[in-house]
Amino acid sequence: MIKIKLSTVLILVILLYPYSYAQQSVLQFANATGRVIDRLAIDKLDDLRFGTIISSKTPGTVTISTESTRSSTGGVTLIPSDYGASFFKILGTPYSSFALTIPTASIYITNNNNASMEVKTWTKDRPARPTLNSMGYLEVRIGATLVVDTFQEIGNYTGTFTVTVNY
Amino acid sequence: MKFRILAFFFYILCMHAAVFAQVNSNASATIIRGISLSRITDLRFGAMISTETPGTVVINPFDSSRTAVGGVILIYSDIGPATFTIMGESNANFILTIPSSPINISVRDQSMVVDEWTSSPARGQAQIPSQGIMQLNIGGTLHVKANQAWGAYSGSFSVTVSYP
Repeated sequence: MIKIKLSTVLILVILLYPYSYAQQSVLQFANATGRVIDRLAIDKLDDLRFGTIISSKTPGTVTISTESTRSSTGGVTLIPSDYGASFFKILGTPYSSFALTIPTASIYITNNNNASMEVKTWTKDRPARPTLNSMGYLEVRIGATLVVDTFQEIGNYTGTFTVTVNY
Repeated sequence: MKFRILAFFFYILCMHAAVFAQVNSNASATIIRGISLSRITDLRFGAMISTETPGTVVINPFDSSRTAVGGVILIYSDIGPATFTIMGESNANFILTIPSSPINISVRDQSMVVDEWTSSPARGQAQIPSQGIMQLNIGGTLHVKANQAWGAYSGSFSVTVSYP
């Protein structure tokens, strides 16, 4: 008795399945987008990422180059992780040149316990007055050096720096 | 005795359970009935600078190219037609409906018009290839006013596929 019931249910499911999923007409939405630039624009694509490190009793530094290579000095151990230079794209009038300003002074990045590390020696892979290409486009990468103290407190450290473009 | 038999069956059941656990594996299949349409990308006119002269930007659905007419300056950026995947029964005919009237794309209180919609395959009756899957590209024309205000403009349009 139970067997019959079970098979009846199965047959019904098999018969109903295609019909319950049948679709004869489908409507989909998409967006149309366009961006008008006010002469000059800068977009950040990547943050400056020093990645994961271990501190020791010896202080040290971690440097990210504009080619996104990572190197260290002193008692710092580099751990495989996501690291790299800060990456910006600049959009504006083709062939125009502009002033590119990056930090010159140190900034401090902090963890949620207010411990801090210094970020200094900022580098960029473009001159102080770069020129946009024929398509009004230029990529800029920015690196710096992180100072890691003796037994630097554990945590995720973040801070903000400013890059300015100006005609 | 009864308990022993039950225990034996329970033991057998456990053995089976263990065996089944060892042969666990996944097999997957997707069944498509009717017709389906899924969006991959939006229609992207990309970045541009407007001047004192109005202009238009055209996205071609066939070669995904971007061209400008008039006073608009094109800036390097992510551009291209809206793309969709259509799946349905092999060789089935279907009706493709794309916008026929202009839409506005806007930011803040500013807007631009998108019209002259084009597509590959063309609107109207089309056929699903024997593999049951095909790509749909949709392009259009963006009208940029003189000194169009800066901003990231966006607007929505709809596409329909249906069996006749």
